[in-house]
Amino acid sequence: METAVPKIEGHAAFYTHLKSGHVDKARIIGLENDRFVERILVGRKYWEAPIITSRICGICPVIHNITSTRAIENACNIEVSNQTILLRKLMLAGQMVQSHSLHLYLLVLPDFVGASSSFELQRDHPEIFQNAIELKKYADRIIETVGGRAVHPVASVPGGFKSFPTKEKITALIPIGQKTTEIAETTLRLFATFKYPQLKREIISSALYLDHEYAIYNGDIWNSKGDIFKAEKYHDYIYEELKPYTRAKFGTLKGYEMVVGAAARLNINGFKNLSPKTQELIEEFNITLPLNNPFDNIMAQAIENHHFAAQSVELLEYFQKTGVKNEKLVVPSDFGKGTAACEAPRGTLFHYYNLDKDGFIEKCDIITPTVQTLPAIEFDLKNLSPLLKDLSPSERSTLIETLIRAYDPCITCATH
Amino acid sequence: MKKSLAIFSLTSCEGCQFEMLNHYETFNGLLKYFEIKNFRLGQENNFDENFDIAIIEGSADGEEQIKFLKKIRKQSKVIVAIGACAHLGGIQSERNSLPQGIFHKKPTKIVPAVIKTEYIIPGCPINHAELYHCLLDIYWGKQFFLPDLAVCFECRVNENECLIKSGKPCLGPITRSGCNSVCVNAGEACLGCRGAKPEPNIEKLKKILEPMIGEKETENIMTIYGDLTNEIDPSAKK
Repeated sequence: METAVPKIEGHAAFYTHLKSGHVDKARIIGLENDRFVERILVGRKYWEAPIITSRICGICPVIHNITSTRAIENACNIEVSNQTILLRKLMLAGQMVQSHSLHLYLLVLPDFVGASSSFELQRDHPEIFQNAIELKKYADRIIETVGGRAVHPVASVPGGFKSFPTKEKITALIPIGQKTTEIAETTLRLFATFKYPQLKREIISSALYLDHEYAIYNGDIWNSKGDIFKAEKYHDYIYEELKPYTRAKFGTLKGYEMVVGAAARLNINGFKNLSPKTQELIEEFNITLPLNNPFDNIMAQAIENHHFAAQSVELLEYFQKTGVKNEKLVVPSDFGKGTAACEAPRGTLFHYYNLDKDGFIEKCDIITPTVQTLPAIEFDLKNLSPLLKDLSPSERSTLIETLIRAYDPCITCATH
Repeated sequence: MKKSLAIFSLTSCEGCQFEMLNHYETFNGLLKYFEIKNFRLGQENNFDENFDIAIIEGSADGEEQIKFLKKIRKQSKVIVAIGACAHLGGIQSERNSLPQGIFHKKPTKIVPAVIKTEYIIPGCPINHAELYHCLLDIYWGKQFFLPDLAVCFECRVNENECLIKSGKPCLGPITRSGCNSVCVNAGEACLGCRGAKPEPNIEKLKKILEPMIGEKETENIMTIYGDLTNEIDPSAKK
């Protein structure tokens, strides 16, 4: 059996076949077992969907919870209050910082400072490591304050929230948030100093887009081929296929491999809606679009990390001013079909539900970001040939693992 | 003397591992007592050798994972199974109760059903403090016990309003405490992720819930995380 790539979410192995210096065949193999989440939801009541789907992934439960909640709300034709939307956006900002900082520091950084694990990193670079802890802790606290628990939040349900953070809790988070935004700046500066392997190519990015804000909660899906479509139409654009050698599905944009995630979001949305301070930093480091090197995803995550840390502080300050009202849940009365798309830390996530007249789930479909990324990873394993040429076998695997890690795949999501 | 520790993951969401990492400072404190020999999520150099303690997350799916579990059992002195997947079957165990043939797959198996398991830390996700408590007890040679009161006990301490009394479904009365009633604190019902407490009166609770939400939904909420009645004391089951 292949050994799983260390330090990625879920179990995956890779296989590359070198022929006279060229990667002839490349495969990324998900070793995770499928759990058939879409099937086990059938016959259950609508409100169980966010609870069960958040268990698809332990690193990004918030986004599964919220996408599922929104899809159910679309299926029930209910509108939630502005406060609910802002609380969700706050949770999402926390989710982004949580996932990005964990990936950047614990999984990616050891590759670039020559440590084999986060424990070694902690021993040799304690000051860098402390930053990781602060970022992660702040993000966890946001999700805990709004959602009730850091892993698998409980308060966010279709129709609104079941409990609300007190003003004291929100006020207490603000100074921590300001400090964390500074740490996020340090993080961005740190990651801007690394030398990334150069692997330039034409890439097709796909992400949510909105005119007036950096879209993660809602919006239409735009891609760099020029297509614009609504979440409901995802089946016309994203084709899923099964491969004989892996349990994870492969999703393509009508047959073309696409890139989703932090770099793709920046490519589609541009820098214009990022927080002003983030834009300043981008200018300082002279980062230009498009980000068409897969390793740029690391840098893009560091940029987003700063943006969302800053945005979370803005939202907290807003709630400090207005307070959080105890709003009643909007209870659905009629049920139908609903789709929603949100931006997960790793890219666009689609949830679709078909409810019967009593609110039991009849059909469910979920397309996760990693499903959409896997074909691009395979494609780039082949593109890596020129860089692999003069390396020893162990250096080759290290570089390949670094590439896979840069994409930040989540195999538990891909094989839900 | 540090004891060697390994952390493995089977079919699951890996949320329990992240729950451990979420409280990194406490996790770090453990490194005084344990040396981590195998932890794929967190480190590159993993060893295939004998361990003092192996933590296992997830349920065993298919021959490969069952073989893997048996291998880990041979290599480890103590097995600690963590999370609802290892304890109750997790969300994926729903397929065990569906008619055969819908999936071309064998039922997913809980860890104690495959190998002898010394300790189980329940919950979806686990309570990290409980796991660390258990690990330190093992380190010092003490016997670790889980609380055996119902979630209702903690819920009262937290001064929550009783959901059942206000006509809403909740599995608190039959569920093992130790989570500090985190779900009810946030307004959600207890859905039994920690499994049943000793001598649970499940039939009585069913009789209370069925008039509220109907038979089908009662059955549904009692099976979200798998079989609630799975024994926590693995020695009783082998």
